[in-house]
Amino acid sequence: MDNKVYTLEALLTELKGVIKDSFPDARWVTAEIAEVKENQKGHCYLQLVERKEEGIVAKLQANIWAYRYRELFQKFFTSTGEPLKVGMKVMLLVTVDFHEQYGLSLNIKDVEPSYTIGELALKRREIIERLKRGGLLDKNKALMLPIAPQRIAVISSKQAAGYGDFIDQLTNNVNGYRFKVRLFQSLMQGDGAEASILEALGAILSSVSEFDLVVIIRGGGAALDLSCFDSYELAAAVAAFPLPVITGIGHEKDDTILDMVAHTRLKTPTAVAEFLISGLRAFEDRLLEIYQRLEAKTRGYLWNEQQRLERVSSRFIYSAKNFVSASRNRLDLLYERLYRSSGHFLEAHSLRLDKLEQALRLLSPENVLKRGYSITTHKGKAIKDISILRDGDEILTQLKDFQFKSIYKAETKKGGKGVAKTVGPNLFAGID
Amino acid sequence: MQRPLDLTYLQALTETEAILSEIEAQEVDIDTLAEKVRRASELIAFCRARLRQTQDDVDKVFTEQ
Repeated sequence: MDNKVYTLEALLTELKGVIKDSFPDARWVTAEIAEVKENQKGHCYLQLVERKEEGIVAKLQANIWAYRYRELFQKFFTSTGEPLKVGMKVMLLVTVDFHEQYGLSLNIKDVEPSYTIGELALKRREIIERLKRGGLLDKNKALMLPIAPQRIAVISSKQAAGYGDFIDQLTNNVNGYRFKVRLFQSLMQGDGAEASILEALGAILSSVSEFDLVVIIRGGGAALDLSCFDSYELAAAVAAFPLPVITGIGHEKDDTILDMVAHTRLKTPTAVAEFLISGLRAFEDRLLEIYQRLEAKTRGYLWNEQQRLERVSSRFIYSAKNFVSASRNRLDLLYERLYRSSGHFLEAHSLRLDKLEQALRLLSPENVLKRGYSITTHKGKAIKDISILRDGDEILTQLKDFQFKSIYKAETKKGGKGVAKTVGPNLFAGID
Repeated sequence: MQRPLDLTYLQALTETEAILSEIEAQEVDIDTLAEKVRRASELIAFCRARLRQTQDDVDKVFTEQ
């Protein structure tokens, strides 16, 4: 043991020398940034750590002097698209410094962005993998876009030029469509943006029935830090959101994870507005088409009905007339049959009558006389019984062309009853 | 028998067609023919009026747009 007594300064000065001798050159070191801040002079102060499963296993201050910082920032940002920030893994070229008052620290001379890019890509892949495992990657995409979305919840920063563009575009659309837009203010970049957007989503969720979809937009100004859009929590919240989420975050880089899980991803706020307008235009076109089809169908239907009615009507007139004339014909036929049959009937009867008449005529006395018979009468009565005659009675005998009178004298000869003696044979000749 | 005004267009048309086929099949009584004809022409007039009214209404709807 050295028995010499040092002052603190002397001790630390010696220590400083030892460190300087042991670490003469700059070295590459990897670490995670646990804290980062700039002061007014433009120097950058960082807290570097190394984590293992059990927690932080190493920790040290680091700084970048202002004259280096500007250059390094530019280099780093150009490659990674992000500034140095908390949680980021970095590879740094450092010298080990010791100061008697401020202790041990690292002075950063250079930075290797490709290391950070690799780390970021890895982290990003992990997040995507996690979302995929949770079934979240395509969850919001599976939602149906409303037919004509007009009630829009916007998450943006009111001052952002992108928000102004979006509102202008929506309000002044040539078709005159009206949108009901409500802004949910949020930080759109840097630390706190993630929490702020999540809060805005929560606010929308509490009145979710008032909206058709959610729009997340930012734009205008340089995109300093978009890593908030690569966070798992935000992506998960958007993916599981009950309304379709449309992004217009406005950046040239590859899609952020937020874009990946969104229902529809567009480049700029203006593009989002145009998308909404074209959706309504498509809807209106469809309505018009339906309307035209309706009109054509209706007119066609009415025309058919009219034709049908006219057909029925004319068939009807025809058939009613037909019916009447058919009935009339039937009547005429009946009449004719009646007429004819009654004619026959009468004819038959008259023939019969004729026959009767004829028969009758044959039996008439005249005809009897013609056939050579004679009729003998006494006092106008035909003599059918001789016993009515007395001797001396005058009897009249009538033949066909003449008659004569006789005087009756009874004789008993040959059993006869009497004999008429003709008085004057031609007395009444010619009398008929 | 319902008054035509209480019928729908389709009911009126169906009834007319029924009467028509009765007449065409000569299944009608001469005694009732006049009555049937009167009924059917009443129904046809009703259908025509209803159709014209509908046409006017439709025209109005489509020209208002």
